Amino acid sequence: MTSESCFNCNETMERLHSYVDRELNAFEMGEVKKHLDDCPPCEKHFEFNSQVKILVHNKGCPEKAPSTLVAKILANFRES
Amino acid sequence: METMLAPPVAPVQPKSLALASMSQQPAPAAAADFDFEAAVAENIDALYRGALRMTRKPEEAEDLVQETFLRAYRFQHQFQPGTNFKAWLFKIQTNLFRSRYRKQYNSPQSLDNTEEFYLYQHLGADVPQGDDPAADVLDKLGVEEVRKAIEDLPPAYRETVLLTDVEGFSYKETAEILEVPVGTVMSRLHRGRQRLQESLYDYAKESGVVE
Repeated sequence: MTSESCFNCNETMERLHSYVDRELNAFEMGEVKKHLDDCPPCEKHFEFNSQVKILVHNKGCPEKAPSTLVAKILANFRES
Repeated sequence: METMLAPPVAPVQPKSLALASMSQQPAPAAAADFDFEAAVAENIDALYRGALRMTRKPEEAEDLVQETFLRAYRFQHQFQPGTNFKAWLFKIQTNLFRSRYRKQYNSPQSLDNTEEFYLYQHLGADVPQGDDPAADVLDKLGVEEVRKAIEDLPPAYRETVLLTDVEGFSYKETAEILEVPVGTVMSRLHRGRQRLQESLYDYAKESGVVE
């Protein structure tokens, strides 16, 4: 058992987006993780928000550029 | 789970090769360092999907991407080697979008009345008991629901969510592309994701994923 996190639930939730995005400093990443390990309700929030981020990443923009677009762009270069 | 979090950011470095197919038409001075044809191939899908979510129309997206690459080609001497080329392209495209769609971009777009953890809270209440009802609903959401939920976001929030969640740019890179402070990226991301969850919930209901 590790030491207790210095963040409570509110302080953890305030940092949840930044934690999901891995944008906290090393200390805060560690403290949030400690809290989540010990707090199932906060851990569920984290899991859910991570999954929404992955959902947006995987299903938000599945389209590929039309194959004709590259040719148009290269032709623009030659004309410019 | 945690290892899957950050979508991979493909570092795009222009290659130091001469532009073979365009050797008859030399590009401006310092440009010889770029293989522009390779740069187009590497970045076109990312720019196009971004343009498509912002304009919502394939023809307009194509047009925006064409203009973005043309500007990048003309102003390639302004690119600082060693910095992120994909980010530079997105910055050009963002500025183009803002100037072309000024009215839409500048219309009031505050998201003050969004609710924290909306989807999660509502799914907890509405979905029949299961191992992880909220996660089950997310699995059932399709491309169409997610696309519509993103396109519902006001442009300033939409571009922020797209850059961080779809393209995997860091807060700092996103801030530089959008020319706003990192704190603004964070608050737009926060509010944008809240609104996104509200829309996902609505579309989940509409399509019968949630009763």
